[in-house]
Amino acid sequence: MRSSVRHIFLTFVGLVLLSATAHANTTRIWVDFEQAGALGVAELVKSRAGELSAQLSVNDLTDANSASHNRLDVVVGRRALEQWLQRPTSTQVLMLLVTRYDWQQLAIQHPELASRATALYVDPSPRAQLKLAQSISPSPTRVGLLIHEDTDLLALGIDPALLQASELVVTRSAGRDEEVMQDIASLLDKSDVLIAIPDGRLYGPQNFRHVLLSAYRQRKAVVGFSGAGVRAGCLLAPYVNGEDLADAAIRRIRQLQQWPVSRPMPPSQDIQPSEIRVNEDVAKTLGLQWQKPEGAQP
Amino acid sequence: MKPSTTCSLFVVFATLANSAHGASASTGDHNAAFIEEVFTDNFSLPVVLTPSRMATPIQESPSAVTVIDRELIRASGAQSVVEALRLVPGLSVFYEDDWKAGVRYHGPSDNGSARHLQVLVDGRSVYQPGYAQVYWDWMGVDLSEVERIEVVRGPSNATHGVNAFSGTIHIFTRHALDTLGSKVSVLTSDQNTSSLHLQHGTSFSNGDGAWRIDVDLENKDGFDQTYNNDRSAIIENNDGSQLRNIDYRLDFSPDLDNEISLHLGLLRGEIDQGEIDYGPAPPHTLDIESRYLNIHLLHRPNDESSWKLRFSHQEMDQENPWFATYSTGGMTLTGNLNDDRFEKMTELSGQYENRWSPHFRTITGLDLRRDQVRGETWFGHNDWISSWRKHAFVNTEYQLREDTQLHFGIAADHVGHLQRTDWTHNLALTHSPAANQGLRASWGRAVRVPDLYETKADWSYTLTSPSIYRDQYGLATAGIVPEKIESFDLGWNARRLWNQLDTEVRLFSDHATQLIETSTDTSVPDSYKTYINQDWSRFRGYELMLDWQATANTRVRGNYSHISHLSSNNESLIESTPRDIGSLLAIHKLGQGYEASVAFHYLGTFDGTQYLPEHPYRRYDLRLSKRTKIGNTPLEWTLLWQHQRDLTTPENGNNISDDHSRLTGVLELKF
Repeated sequence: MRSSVRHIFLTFVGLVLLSATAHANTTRIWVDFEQAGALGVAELVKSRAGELSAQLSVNDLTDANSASHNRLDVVVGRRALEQWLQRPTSTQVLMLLVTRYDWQQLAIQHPELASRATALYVDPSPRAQLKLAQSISPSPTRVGLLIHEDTDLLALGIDPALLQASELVVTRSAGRDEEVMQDIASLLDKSDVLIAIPDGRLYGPQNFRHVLLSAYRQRKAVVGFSGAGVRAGCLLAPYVNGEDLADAAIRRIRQLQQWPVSRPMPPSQDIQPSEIRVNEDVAKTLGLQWQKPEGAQP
Repeated sequence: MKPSTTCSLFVVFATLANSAHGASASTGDHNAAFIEEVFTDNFSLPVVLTPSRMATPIQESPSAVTVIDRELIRASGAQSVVEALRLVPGLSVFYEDDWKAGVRYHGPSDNGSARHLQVLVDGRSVYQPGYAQVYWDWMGVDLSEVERIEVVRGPSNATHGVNAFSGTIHIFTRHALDTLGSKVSVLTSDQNTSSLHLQHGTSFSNGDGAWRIDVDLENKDGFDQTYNNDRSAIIENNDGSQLRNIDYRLDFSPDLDNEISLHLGLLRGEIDQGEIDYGPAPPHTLDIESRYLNIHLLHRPNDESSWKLRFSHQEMDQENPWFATYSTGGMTLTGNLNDDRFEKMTELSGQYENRWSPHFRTITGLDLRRDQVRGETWFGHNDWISSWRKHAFVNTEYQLREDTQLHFGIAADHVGHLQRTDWTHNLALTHSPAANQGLRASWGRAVRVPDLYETKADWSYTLTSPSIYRDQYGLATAGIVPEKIESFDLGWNARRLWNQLDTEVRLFSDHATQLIETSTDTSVPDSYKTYINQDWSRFRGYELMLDWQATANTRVRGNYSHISHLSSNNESLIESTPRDIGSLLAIHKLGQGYEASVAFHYLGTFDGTQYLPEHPYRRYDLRLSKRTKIGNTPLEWTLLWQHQRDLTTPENGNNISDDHSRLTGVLELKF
């Protein structure tokens, strides 16, 4: 009798341990269901994950009853992350659909993220944008970049040597609406091509059209950060489509599921874009061409 | 841990998290959503640069067009709009007086004025129809306000109106949103020229609107010496000027589909006139005042079409009284005379542009304009003379194939003071054999309508002491009709042809007839003072333009034109067309904010004239500038040295330059 009880007890403990392990291997993808774009990304990640899909679940952050007890969470979008941070959790997190500029701000506001969070940047690096700008024909002699005054240039991969070698003109802005336009006007005066970065403190739906129009009036091109920007009037931009993002996320999830909890999370990464989008009408009217450098990735 | 303690911690954490959320929301929650959406397929960013907003690419343009942008203006060292025009193939620049610059494209012209060029500032014509003049120094446009200058070389009535005879010069000033902040610019030279330019601009409504105010003060000493009328003596010249100008620009665009632009300007000045110790007109002062208003409305109902409405009103007053002393027949006569002129121009124009299909686009428009002029000396009375002009046009562009376009434009112009309607047209075929090349063949006809002076002139001076003496200088005749020009051209342009080289070649043949000049019929007494259609000119030749970005820091820009000119035997026509015109400009960035440029400008001799010098105009320019900062304040200084080979040149008419060299310094600060 005692051996049966012991056997049942050990079986019960084993089952509990098994379910805990299985539970720990499930990765929840958290998203604000009201954000259609972010929800679309989350569902695309799950649908393209293959055998990993069974371990992924898409959850609504606005559902107060949902909770996370996993080793790894995936959070899609900045607003989702801010809601996720309100919940008490020590889970490691992979951030999707975030720009490196937002990530820098979040890291300052939430220092606890430093060791247990990492991101896949949805935007191209300024170095990649600069390389694109320099491959425009005729090649510009000066490339302008507006950044927020709090932005760390080194964190963007722009060191003094690059500044010197590339004739990159960098202007820092406090980000107040009227000042941004004045800073843009000043920068367009000093440069032949403008790099636009997706920093919400500088650009928004209100002023982005003015930036494009101002650059066009002066017959200067803007190197954008997304396909939508090219469609609006940027000359060209690296294009990360949903599949690029989802596939990069799946690779990263697989890696992070094996990541030791005791170790700080690995550094954030860029997503390799699948193509360069070019606005041919803008190129034609400005008399510009883009030539993909030999051997270069898109 | 007790549940109550756990709850308390949760509440504290949630409160802290909410505080953090509140702080991040203040950085732009709306912008954060915008940034996210531009990376997904939720395209919340509208198409800003629509086809209707963008200019026709150069290789598809139905006319030969030269664009001088701000970068080129700055590097050339030009200190006025007229000087910047030296970079255009076929344009010649000259000075009747230091304050009276003239521009010609091929000719013809009898007095150096741009009487055969349409000149527009932001769509507003500054060609004064009262006296067929463009007062370049009195336009109220400082070169630093200019975004770019587009020069259409060839007739284009169908696009630019009745005076687009030889060509059109369109000056675009900078949008107010592109000139935010404050700027001070000071110029001085060793030839007693100085100027001060102040500018301030600011935006409102998150950049939906912006305004700018410019104030200019200018003082010029002018040429020191000049030849008298028959070039028998050199006399002291008196052509200095002092100008004060203020202008205001407001741009407002509440959304992508609507734009409003308002320009106001007021210019006042004193111009030195008369001759020192010579002639009947002693030194005296011409007082000028010019006022203008220009309003644009633009509406885009969709991506393929746009409506434009423009209203402008401008007035120019020239008060020029002087006391004359004239000796004739052993008598000395005196009297109070004046050369007062007053002009007004009011214009309302509408334009509709639509792309009916991917292959077919039209621009249609209607202009209504009232011109008024008054001047007792010029018309024999002091009443206003007015004339209404109606101009209707249609321009079409049809894409025959992806690389070939057919352009056709037709215009009808009805001029009230002539009571007639003239039809003009332009036809052009453009073809792009490669993405970076364009070929063009064009045929066009244009007219220049006689101005109010040519049709109503009764120019005379009456001296009163000790007796009445009247001297007639000009008289209009009945039956005067518009001048005509027929033009053919072949053009080829290429971008990045070889190692970042842009090129343009143009062959042209223009035949102008019914040109209005003073009569040469010596059988009729004083006939030389009447204006009739009696002359013709034929211009044939070629134009070249090269723009080479030799290295990342070096750019070379050159243009050259060769003009073969035949005309009826009229001295003033012959004097208006030099055989060869050219310029060469090399710009090099030296690093550390330094930039240097060298330029050579050339205006060849004229055929068969007895008055003008028989050597060409040759000028060398050397410019050095540096961009730096004082603290956080950008500063730029420029030194410009100009050396003219000869003190007397065809482009200066009778004037004699003071010195072979001129040194100018400019300092500019931005805040």
